[in-house]
Amino acid sequence: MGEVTVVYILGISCYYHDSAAALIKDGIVVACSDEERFSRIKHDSSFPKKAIQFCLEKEGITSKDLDFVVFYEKPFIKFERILLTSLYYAPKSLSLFRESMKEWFFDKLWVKSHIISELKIPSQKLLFSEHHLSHAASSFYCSPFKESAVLSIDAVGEWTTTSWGIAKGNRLDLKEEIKFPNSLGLLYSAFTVFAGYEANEGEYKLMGLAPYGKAKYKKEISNLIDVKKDGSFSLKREYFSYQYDLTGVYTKKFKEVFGDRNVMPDKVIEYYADIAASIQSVFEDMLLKIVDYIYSKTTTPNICFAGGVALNSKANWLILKKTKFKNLYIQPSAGDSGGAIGAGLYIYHHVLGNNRSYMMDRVYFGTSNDNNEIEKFLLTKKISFVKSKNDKDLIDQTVDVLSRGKVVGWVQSQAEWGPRALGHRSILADPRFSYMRDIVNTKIKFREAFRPFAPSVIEERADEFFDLGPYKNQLPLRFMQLVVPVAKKKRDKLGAVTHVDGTARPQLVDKETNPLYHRLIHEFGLKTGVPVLLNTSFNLKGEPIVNTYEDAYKTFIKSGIDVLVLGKHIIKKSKK
Amino acid sequence: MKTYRQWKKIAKKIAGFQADVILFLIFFIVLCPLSLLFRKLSKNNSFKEQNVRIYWVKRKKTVHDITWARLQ
Ligand SMILES: [Fe+2]
Repeated sequence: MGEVTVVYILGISCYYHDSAAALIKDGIVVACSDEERFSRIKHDSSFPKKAIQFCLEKEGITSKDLDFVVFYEKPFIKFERILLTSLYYAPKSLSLFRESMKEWFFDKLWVKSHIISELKIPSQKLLFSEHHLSHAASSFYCSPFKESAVLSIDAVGEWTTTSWGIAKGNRLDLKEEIKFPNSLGLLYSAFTVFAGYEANEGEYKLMGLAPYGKAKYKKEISNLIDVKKDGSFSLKREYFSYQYDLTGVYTKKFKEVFGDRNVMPDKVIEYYADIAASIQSVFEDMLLKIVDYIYSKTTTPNICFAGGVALNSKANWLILKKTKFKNLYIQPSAGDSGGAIGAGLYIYHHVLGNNRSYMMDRVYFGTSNDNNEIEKFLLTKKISFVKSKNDKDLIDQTVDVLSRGKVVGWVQSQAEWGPRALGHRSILADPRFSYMRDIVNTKIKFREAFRPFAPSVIEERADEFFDLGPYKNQLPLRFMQLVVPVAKKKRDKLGAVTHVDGTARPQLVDKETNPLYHRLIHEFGLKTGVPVLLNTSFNLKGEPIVNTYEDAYKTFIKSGIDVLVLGKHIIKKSKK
Repeated sequence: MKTYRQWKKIAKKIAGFQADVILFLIFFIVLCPLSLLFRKLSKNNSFKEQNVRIYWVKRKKTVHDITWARLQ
């Protein structure tokens, strides 16, 4: 009998933001994680040493067993862009040149030798994908589609900011692209900064602010962009400085039109809310034009979307509602960390020619917490707890505290992949009363009061509560990637999770991939009549989502969470 | 050990300052004049495209095999 050979590929993305590693075994993702979950530094962009170690240990292999290691982009081409941009915009580009050269000469230019020395692999095993190919591949090769259009939009990769293509079987071909400095992602980020938030961090906040305003300034924003009928666009350079300035994103001329930056971003100020509504609307119009153009060039009802821009869940819903595409897939980690998966899968399928058999319909690839270890930890630290007898007991006790208005930290088995907590590292609360939102915000999350919380609902009853139309089975609904209307009759029953415009970003929880969480929501529904829970990520403001039971316990102590559930163990906060 | 760590900290600061000075000089002595020259003479597309309105660009058809994947 011949030996069965297994192909292991390790994908790595790092040095921009959100570094990550992913281990792929014969085209199947077996482990992946963002580095921030281990390092506890939010958006950690450093070399993902700990995430790599986690992936290898989880599979019980060492770096010697890897067939290939793939970096998610071509560093020299990116360097060329920075150098040429510095050259073109000199002398305005001094800060870009100085800071970038230091970063590149000390770190980024040596990616190859860095990976080789860290992993002790021969150089032939190290490969490089392209940034947008990695994005596109992360979506298509994880999707359920045999054939699909692919669209990737972000701030910028090497040179590309927007690209589309066609994928079929194990092949993925990007056809056209839009290049830096024309960038939909950077346009949105410019307004994120203007509204008082941080680029690459505050885009969610801008999206959350938009429903409080009216899109009064669409004309003014449209004047900054040339958009063609085919959806392609060019930004007018005189309004933006991100091309040459590391510290600013827009120019004096931009300020002459829109005024000064918001200095009170925690509050809803009418003007900035109107600006947020306007940029969101302009952005949606541009995205839909691009998607319509791609549809006209393809013959498939399926589209795979990727890149940081695919995290705009308000716009994602419109792709289904307003374009001719019938099916949408977005890999749960659509941003740069997802590039680690895409890079590995692109090499495995497109470059090496292997067939596909994989679909990512769940997100639980991260650190696991063992009940015995949890117990040992609690005993050692002399923390009093109640150990549930079985799942039913655990669920009954948790439902009881939730329905009495308590906030629960819920940590079960493997951590989620991607930016969303989907019922394994979540803070849960009763979604029925709007005051619960204020409690979670002020006691626990300490974040802007205007930002909405998302609901988790059991899949079989989702369309009672949300107007999902024919899209109930779309996988992005499982990953909280679509903002949808809450059914009018149910809005008063979902006060804590219905946004000011009557929408919500639900997670549809199915029995098969998420049995314990499904059962919890189901039982909560039996007790209260609402099979929905408020679900927000288990972290404090400015921190990454908790990874281990120790992280969870620390966060529990620092915050106003009432009850912590670690596996089978229930810990109540002592009243001091 | 403590002295070594302190010295390392100071050395890092000195190196950072030196790098700043060198990069500053390179920028004004080399980059700025080159920039002027390039803007006048450049045939490099990526360079020219910085200030021209470009829209969809067709991607070059290249074979993506292991040789391509080894390129950085
Ligand atoms: Fe990206």
